[in-house]
Amino acid sequence: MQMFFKRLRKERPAATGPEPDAAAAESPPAGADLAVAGLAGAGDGPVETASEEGDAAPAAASGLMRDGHDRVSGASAGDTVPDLRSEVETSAESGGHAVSPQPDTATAHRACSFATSADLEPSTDLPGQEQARAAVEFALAMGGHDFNVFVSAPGVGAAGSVVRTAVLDWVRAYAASRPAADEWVYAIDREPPAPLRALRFPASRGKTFVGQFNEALAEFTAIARTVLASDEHAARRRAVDEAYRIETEQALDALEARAESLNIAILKTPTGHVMAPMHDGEVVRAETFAGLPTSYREDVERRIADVERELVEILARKPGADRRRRRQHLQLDGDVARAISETVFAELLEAFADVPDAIRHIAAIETVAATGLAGMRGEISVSVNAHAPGGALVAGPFPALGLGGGDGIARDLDWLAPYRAHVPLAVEGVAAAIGAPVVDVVLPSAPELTGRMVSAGGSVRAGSGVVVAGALHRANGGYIVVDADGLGADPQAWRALKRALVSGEIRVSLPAEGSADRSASAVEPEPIELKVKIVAVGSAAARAHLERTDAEFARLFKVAAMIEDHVARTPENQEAFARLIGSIVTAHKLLPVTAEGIERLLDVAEAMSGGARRISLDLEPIADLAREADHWARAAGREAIGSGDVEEALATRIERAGAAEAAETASGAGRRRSRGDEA
Amino acid sequence: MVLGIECSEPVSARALAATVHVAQAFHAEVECLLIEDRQLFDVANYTFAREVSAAAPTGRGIDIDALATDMRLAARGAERNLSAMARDADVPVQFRPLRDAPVKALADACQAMGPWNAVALSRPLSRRLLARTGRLFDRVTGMTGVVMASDRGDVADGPVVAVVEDFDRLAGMRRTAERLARVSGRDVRIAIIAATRRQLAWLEREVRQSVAGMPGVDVVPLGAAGGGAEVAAEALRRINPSFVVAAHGGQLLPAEPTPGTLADVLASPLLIVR
Repeated sequence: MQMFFKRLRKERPAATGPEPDAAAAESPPAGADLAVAGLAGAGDGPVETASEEGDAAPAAASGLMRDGHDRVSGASAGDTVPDLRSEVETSAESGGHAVSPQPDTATAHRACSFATSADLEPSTDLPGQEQARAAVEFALAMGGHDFNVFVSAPGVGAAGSVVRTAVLDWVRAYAASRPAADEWVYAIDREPPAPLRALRFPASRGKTFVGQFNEALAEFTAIARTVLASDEHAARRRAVDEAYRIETEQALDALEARAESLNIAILKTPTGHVMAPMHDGEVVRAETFAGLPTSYREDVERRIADVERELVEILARKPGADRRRRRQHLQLDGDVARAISETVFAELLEAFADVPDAIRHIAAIETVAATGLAGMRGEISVSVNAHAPGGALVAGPFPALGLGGGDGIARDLDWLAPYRAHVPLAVEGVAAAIGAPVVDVVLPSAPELTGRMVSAGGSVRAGSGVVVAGALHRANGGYIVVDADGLGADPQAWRALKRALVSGEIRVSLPAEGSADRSASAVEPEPIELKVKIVAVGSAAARAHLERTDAEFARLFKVAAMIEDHVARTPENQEAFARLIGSIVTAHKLLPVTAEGIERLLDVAEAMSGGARRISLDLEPIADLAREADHWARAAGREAIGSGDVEEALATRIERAGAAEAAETASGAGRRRSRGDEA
Repeated sequence: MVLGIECSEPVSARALAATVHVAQAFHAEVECLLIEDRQLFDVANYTFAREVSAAAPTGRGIDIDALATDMRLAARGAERNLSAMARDADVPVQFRPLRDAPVKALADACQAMGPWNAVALSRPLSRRLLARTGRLFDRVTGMTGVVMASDRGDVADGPVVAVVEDFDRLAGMRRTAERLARVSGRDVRIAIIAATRRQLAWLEREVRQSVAGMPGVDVVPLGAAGGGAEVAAEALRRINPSFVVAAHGGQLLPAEPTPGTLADVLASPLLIVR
């Protein structure tokens, strides 16, 4: 590339005054006048500038601007800048590659009339790429997961490259007319450990549902606490307990009273009951009893046996009675929960009546709320009571979450908290575009593509984590533009993308097994149906690498689009090029480029394509050159980048290249000399 | 205070705590009788005697040694718990294991210690236990009052309530309630009961006059006049008392308790005075 620039370089003009471009920059109208002047000259026909060495300036055919100054002075002997006009004619005659006919420079120039790039609307639109764009749009329109498109482009760099930006703009333009994508919401619908369910919502309704649903959960908990603590509810529970007592204690009391009336004492032992004859409230001693008449003794024994039998029946009924009591408590609390959930979720059910996933999920949560509430009360009723300071008496029904219950200590617990829904994090940050989503992935990695699970604190457990969206989440229902070179460099990223495309699902990665961030109970969230098209933008080498590495690649990227690396230097393409320069200026925050500066850059671009009236679209070197020229313009205190600055940039590059070459040559010669000496 | 722990019956932790509370209030020491019911050992001598339980519904023979061991273990557990509570409250406590009929053991102990004893029972408050209060007062002559504690529901944290049905008893009941309230830092509420509206109105007037100006003492009717034990019990429950002082044989604590009365609704300790 350095040799190439060496060829492009012209001698710098003698410093006879301020740079004509500076003058143009300082007074744009003057620059415009110069252009007009150039136009006046150019209107007489193709312009031939007489260089010092008689070179024909390639810009003569451009018609952009002509002051003749720097071209004339810049040309030097030995420049290989061809007489492009003559070359073009020759080429056309000899049937060489088709080039645009010699432009009507006057017309062309009038169409592109401007003083600096600031007068132009910047654009990333690449000239002459209609076929490539059509190929991309074809791939986007095709159904199926395997009609993805690989866009080969010269000089494609990372984010910010002009070509990549242009492709992104094509995709965005296409996506704008597509329907907006569905939204996905994650939530668990049963007691943990449980996987996060993926719920589908129409565009923009998922977030609304999350807000309203979580609010409903909080409302449910608040109302449930109030109801459970109310006198009315306590009275109902007491009634159940009373019925139990009547069934057991009263039965025992009654039996005791009856036994007493029969002069039989029922005594409690540590492990059961014993019966004995009684007199005057005291148990009769065995020896005294033995002295009583046999018939009396037999009668007493019979009575004791009856009482024993009855006692056994009462004791046998106790477990059943206790079970019934517990069930009645659960039923009571279930009724309460259902009444509350009917109130709390009614609005939500109405608002999302047309969303099947929402209806199903709410129904599941209503069941959870009913049984969870009942379970919570069930634990309370058997535990040794203790109050947390200022807190309600609550025991957690979710031991898997380590939330109360086991140790009998009360905790103030929002027991429905694990059931809160969420949209994948970072989806919120994606600009709400019109149409389908488009996501630009610059550094693809597996988690970047498929998302991951995180937890607010501690490790991710089943149902306790939150999904951080990957690119596939964000682009689901739309399109991804991905850096193909990056994809090729990260096999895991490619594998993750391939897996997602082939399965048609997004599976979120859990933290690594055995890591501190992952508990044994962690469960993968439910996969989400994936509908996405991939536009991979990269070099031909990247494509070749991916195809070599994995035969599946070609099967999944059936469409190829080629960004032409050079286009004809027509007025239209020149104008497009000028706007591209404008976008480079914007992207890199450069000084505006004068018309002459743009023309010089055009010359460089033409020379890069080997001349023949074609300009190279390998814009990274052009961008770099523009940036270096900006440096020189600023150093000279100019307000715009002129052709002289471009020249300066070229010259200094050559100098640096020359110095490096000389150093290399010297070291090489030194090595040869030393080897010779040794020999 | 004489605490009778029957080693064959379940021991209520709240009953132990109530015992210590009362002892602390009256700067008394606790004489704890660890009673192995002699009658159980007598029953073991019967040839036909069997122990019946939910685990052994067909009954099994009474193993005296096992019985004695079980009761000794129960006694040790109760002793440990009570010692800890007494230590925390700085209440002296003496333990005396013995084998006798429970009521007789209490009566003998009260007689030996002289008059003005409060007796505490370790069994949880129940209708059956409450029904025996009259018999207890009859047989344990040295007893001025008996302490029982309920194991139902949550620990109550309301005021100490003195239930007054007779104006003549106001001063004593109020002073008792105040002593108990001082230990726990609660307020005192005088709950009044009367058979008729007129009596209730008079009683309320007199009581309010008597306690006027006393800080932390409040007066409230306990249910409607003539409402009976059930109404009074429910009204008392709503106050959520942390301790109740009441006289035996009145409207709140009739001689024969019925469903819905105090034993069924009370969640706090109860000091029944003669």
